[in-house]
Amino acid sequence: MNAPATVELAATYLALRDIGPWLEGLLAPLGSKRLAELKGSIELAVHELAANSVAHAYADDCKLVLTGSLEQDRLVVCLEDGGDEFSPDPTAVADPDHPQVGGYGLLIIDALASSVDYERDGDTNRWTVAFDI
Amino acid sequence: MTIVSGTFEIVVATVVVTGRLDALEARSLRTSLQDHIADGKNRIAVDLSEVTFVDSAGLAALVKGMKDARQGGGDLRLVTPASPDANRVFQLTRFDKVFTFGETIEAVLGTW
Repeated sequence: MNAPATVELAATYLALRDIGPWLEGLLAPLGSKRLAELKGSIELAVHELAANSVAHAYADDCKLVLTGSLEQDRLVVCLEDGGDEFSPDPTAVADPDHPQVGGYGLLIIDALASSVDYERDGDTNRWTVAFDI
Repeated sequence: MTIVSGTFEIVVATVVVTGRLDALEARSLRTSLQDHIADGKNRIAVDLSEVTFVDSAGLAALVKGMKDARQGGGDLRLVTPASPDANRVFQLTRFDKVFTFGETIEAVLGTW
């Protein structure tokens, strides 16, 4: 197991573009082939999680803190933010006759992660997402 | 008997997106699609072949465009992203079964 790696991001959509490079560093010990296989799906899930935080981070100085731990057979990513408490919207399902415009973030995260946990700790939202590697 | 021959020209608006179609860029795409539809162009082909990443906000912009286009009697159809990472969001949400895809812009235009 490698030491956890942490990155602090501004709560903006632009800052979320730093997630991919951060994950590349985190997954580098797995080798370039495995990194290429895993990075895209993990980035999408972590990006969706962080984008949800940005959407609900109403204070201008709100930060997102990502911590990643590479374990023997899984990657665990923890996301903390000081935004409003998470309140789940109904998860949308693609229906050819009645396609919904939004609500796909959690569906995507659930599909890509092996576990997704949320807790509210005082004024902090804490998400813990694990991926099989 | 009377036979009257004529031609009917179908106008298809094309939109090419490159790079990342994420929450940062989704609004620009949504505006571009809305502009075409407001201009009466309800058939839109969006070329995603050089898109490297699509998130749920990018997907939502495309779904909104498709719904608006279909309400106007047209459709919004897509050129398949070359990148598997960009394709993933369509597969996970099953929108790969909702949109009409083609491998090239010519193939998409040929569906009309």
